[in-house]
Amino acid sequence: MAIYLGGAVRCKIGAMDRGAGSPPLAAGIEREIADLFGKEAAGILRYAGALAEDPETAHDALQEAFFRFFLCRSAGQRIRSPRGWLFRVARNYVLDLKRAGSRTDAGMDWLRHLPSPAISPATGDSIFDRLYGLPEIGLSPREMECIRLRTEDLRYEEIARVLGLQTGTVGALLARAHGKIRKAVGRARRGAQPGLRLRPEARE
Amino acid sequence: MHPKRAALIAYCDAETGADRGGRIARHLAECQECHERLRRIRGEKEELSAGAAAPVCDPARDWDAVLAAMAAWREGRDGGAASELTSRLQWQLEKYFGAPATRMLRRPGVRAEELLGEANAMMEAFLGPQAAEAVRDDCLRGLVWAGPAREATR
Repeated sequence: MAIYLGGAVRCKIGAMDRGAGSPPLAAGIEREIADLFGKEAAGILRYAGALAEDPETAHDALQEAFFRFFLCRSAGQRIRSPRGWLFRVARNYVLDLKRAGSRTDAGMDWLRHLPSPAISPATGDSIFDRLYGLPEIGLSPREMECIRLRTEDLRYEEIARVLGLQTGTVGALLARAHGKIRKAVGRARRGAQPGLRLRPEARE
Repeated sequence: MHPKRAALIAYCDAETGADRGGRIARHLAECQECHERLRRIRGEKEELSAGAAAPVCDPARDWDAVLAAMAAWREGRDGGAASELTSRLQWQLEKYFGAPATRMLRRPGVRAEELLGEANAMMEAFLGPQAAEAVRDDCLRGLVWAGPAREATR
């Protein structure tokens, strides 16, 4: 039986039922993992890639997260929020590798990898496209991570779990980040933000 | 009274409860200024999400690697990772619960994942979920699962 996962990953579930002796529970877990992989792998890879600044580390983080998920589920562990769990494991894996010294604060360099969205056809421009240097906005690593995880459609509760925060703190961090972005965009449009410049095409 | 920015962002993200969401919705229906603030917040979110949705790379090869690692684990081709995990779990159990508790859990022939499950249940019961999670992460950190299979996918 072939299953199409997220339009990008195709796997054969039949290939997972290795050996007639595989218990039904194990097959169930592997199906659960296949389903999760199809839904979440691209987002985790994007997130880990931005955090790690290295595609190979991002791939390793993704594999590690799913393999640990398999192991914990095989151990009978119930995982209430698999998506948050997977993002958290991938994040900790990357941070461990980076030896940042702190498990709660990612380095600032990865913020530069925040993607710049395409110009919106509705408005003709994009506020984020206008900015050269997102780090100069003054977002803290936690604020930036909240924004990043939110763009991957994680719920506040899941973001809190990934970052080891209270759910209410996530809302506050997002609000503060939005405020900073709004101010920086305003300053950039007026040409008054030191170190933050409009792209030439946006200035025209 | 206008809702705060955090409340509007939470409303935009469908993170407000029914009561609070209802109050904000009623206010938005009457307040053009807040309606405009919400429109801006939505626009920013959409722009960020559009950028984030750009595919970085294809995770297909990772799925092959995960499948290979799961199969290798089941078949005992784990390159010593199971044994190392068992040893780490034993060390943690001894640290928190003492040698007798560890001997009780580590029966002959018990698989590493069974021990992981039992250790995790004990840790959750006595130390709490967060501490159990931290201990489990420590046990799993840096273990090499079926390295050759993983390398083969590159």
